[in-house]
Amino acid sequence: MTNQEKIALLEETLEIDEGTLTEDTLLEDVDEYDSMAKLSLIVMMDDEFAVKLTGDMIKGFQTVGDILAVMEKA
Amino acid sequence: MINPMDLTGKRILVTGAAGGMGVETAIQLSRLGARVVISGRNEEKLKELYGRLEGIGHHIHVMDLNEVDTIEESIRNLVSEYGPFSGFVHCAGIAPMRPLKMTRTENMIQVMNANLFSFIEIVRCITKKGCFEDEGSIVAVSSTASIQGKQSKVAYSASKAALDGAIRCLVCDLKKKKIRVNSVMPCWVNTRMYQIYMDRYPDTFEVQEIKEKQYMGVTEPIEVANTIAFLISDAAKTITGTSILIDGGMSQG
Repeated sequence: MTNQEKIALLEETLEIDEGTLTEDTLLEDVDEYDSMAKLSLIVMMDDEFAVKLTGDMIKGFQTVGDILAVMEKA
Repeated sequence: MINPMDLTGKRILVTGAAGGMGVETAIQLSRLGARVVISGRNEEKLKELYGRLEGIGHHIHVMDLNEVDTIEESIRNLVSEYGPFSGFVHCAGIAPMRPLKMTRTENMIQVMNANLFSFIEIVRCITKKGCFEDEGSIVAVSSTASIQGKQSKVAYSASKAALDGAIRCLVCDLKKKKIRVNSVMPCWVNTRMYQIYMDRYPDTFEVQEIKEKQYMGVTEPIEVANTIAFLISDAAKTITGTSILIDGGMSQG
């Protein structure tokens, strides 16, 4: 999966308009990135990549790029 | 000294025995004198639990409840090996959180299998002639999710509401055999599932809600185990078709 495809999947998961996110986007600047969005992210990562996100991993995410880095098949 | 919850000689099947609530329930039932058949998927964990049971006459039974079609043979084998049961406690279950937009039929079926279909199938098989003592007792672990709406818990809540609906019908179906059927409805219980939840979602509204609304504090598994033991015992001889809330005040607002 290319980075562009991963970003598109992330935008779909977080219900954000297409083309809004880049690798450098700071998550604290994304209004939609609330606790429900984090739950959606956890479920998507498990469904699509078999990756189990922990609380510490989520707390560690600063940018969209940080999330893209773990979007690989476990 | 008297013990109204004495379970001496009663053979009781506990599913989900390797889980937090199941472990505590199996141990407490054994302390009250029951002979317990502990069932679950993880043989290692069941062996560990077996070593903690008190008294004699306990057995381990490895069973995957996702394979609903295999339950009938499993129960038949259990009864022919150990004799009829006088109690069944369904602690098995899963509690996933999944936003509505990501809840597909396959996810619903997975939850329904673990929380509902397996329970009804075991009840169907274990209450056949010669498999269950008359005046025996069945207890299912439900949840306050059965009566309270929560975000991202459509499948879980639906499964628990269906479970509580089912027990009331099972009471009618098993009337002639005088088998009692009840459920317990805990809210937040201090198990591994709760610890994982706290770790994953530390800053959510729900966590704040637990602290404010479950004002009696998080329930310890032993309290759920004691309530189950009470419902299994003759102390609850005419209690049937009911669901007991164990929620620290949560559902009362």
